[in-house]
Amino acid sequence: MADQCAKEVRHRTVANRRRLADQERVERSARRADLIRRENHFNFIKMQYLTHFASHVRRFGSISMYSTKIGELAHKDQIKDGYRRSKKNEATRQILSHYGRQCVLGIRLQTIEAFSKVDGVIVVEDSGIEMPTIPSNCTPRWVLKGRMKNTSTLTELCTALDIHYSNMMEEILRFIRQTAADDRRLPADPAELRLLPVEGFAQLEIPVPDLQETDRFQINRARCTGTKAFRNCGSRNDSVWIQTGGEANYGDLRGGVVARLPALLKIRNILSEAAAVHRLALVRILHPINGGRFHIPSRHIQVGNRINGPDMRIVSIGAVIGQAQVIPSGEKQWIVNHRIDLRTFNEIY
Amino acid sequence: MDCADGKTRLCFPIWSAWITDHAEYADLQGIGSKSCPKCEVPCEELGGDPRWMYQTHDYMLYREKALRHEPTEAAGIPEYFQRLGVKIGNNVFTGLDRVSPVDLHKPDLLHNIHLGLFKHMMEWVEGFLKKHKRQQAFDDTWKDIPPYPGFSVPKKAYREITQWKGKEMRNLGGCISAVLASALRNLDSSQYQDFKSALKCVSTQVDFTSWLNIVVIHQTHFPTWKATCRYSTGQRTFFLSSGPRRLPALKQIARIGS
Repeated sequence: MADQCAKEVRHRTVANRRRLADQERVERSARRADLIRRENHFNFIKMQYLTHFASHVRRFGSISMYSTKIGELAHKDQIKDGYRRSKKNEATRQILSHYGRQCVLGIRLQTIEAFSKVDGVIVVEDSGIEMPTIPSNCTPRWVLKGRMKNTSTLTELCTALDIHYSNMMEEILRFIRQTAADDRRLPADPAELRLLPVEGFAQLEIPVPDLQETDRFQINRARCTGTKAFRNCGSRNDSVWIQTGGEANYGDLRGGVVARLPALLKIRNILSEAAAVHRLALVRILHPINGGRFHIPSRHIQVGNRINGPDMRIVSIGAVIGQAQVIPSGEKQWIVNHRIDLRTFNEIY
Repeated sequence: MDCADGKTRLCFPIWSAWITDHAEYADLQGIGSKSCPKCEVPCEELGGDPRWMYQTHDYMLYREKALRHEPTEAAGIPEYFQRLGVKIGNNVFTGLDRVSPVDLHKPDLLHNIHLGLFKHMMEWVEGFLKKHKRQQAFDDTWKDIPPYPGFSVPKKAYREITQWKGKEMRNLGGCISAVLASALRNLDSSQYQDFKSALKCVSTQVDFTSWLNIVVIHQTHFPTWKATCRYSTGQRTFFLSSGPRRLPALKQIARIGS
């Protein structure tokens, strides 16, 4: 009986202790919250400015045109360049007229460009002569650069880039089977393929349309140096975006996948009459984790090395649509940085 | 003025913008350093809820009041102006034809966002990483950022950088959310909520800045833009609850929490 009483008392004491600890934890949390409320604030002028941004954009347009960067550059454009072109004697008026002249010429060029887009001809003022315009904004092409030495056959290329020959051959054969059967098609026989002349390259120039002005292109230069060092800073096999099928694929990636670029090559089919040249890229596809959908806690899309099945693929260089940035996140996993520029941010959001 | 068509025309410029930083705006508009050049917000309510709209400064009215000594609710004209955060009644731009002194003020991405809010945010992020012992992971990821067109790869660890320029801050804005997400991986159940909220807040601020950089904002962008804008400035619970502004508070929090 006495034992039972003692046990009951002990039990109560433990329960009491727990209750007290809980109470203390709640109090501590309340004190912490109170301290935070007292000590922290958003009471500074830069936060107040943000409240006016929306109305300013609505009334006057984008705010990037009001950047102080332009004012700082004006010291050079408006004054220093003008002074350099002046006679250095009574330069003020010459500087002013130089800047005015530059503006006038710039506007004139823009006017001509605008007219040429509308009509296709320019009428020379006062003479009535019509001049056909030259299309200035043609689409740039994908260009392979940085030819590698001693890569004249597939075997030599694989040795130089440290790629397994059988893997390379398997992927090329798969690529050939997917292309249409015509004069330009590469031979599907490995013995013939082995003899074809090959060139390896270290750089691919990818034209990427500008987000805002689609008639302009930015050139992304994706490097693939294999095992060689790039500018004394280790090898570079950049990540690129590959377009694969429709937008419904790969969740929030909308049909695009991220891949590493282990090799760039050019094969000339000398066995056919057409002697067609094929510009190809060997890519290592990074498998989108969670079906390419956003990982909720990190708010990013994650990719990783494929565990099952082949991850290498041969594609035409036209399928490489731009450079990608992936941040390492653990063992053989990466985070796709979709906020790196506006174009990527606009596509993956 | 010589025009593009070769003819000379008369030109009447209208002053529409004065692009400078806050300290110079304060001198130009004759306001205190803790006052807004656009609205009559009291200096202790700066950055409040963006839904509270304060009355826009009417510099013409101030001038009339200062010149005519009109009776006001305040004890005197100086007290009346002090309440509004205005130092001088007669604004230097008042009286210029078709010029609205309020509209001369323009948002400045360099000082306001990159050297302003990003800097505050990074102070907060540093404190957060220190509290959760993730500084080394952040530094390691920071050094491994791969190259990208238009992006300068950092050559030093984050903690080794002593001074930040505007361009570097803009660079940081492009990668900070992904680097932070990588540094905060492998979390346990007690950290889940904090890390999730931290990433949400940092991402929101970066998204807001991305929207600001878009050159042409189309009408269809407005609902999302507005939502992001309101979210960034209005949704501040987590930033407030962990202190973006004053790091000493973080130390005290850590002490209480331990």
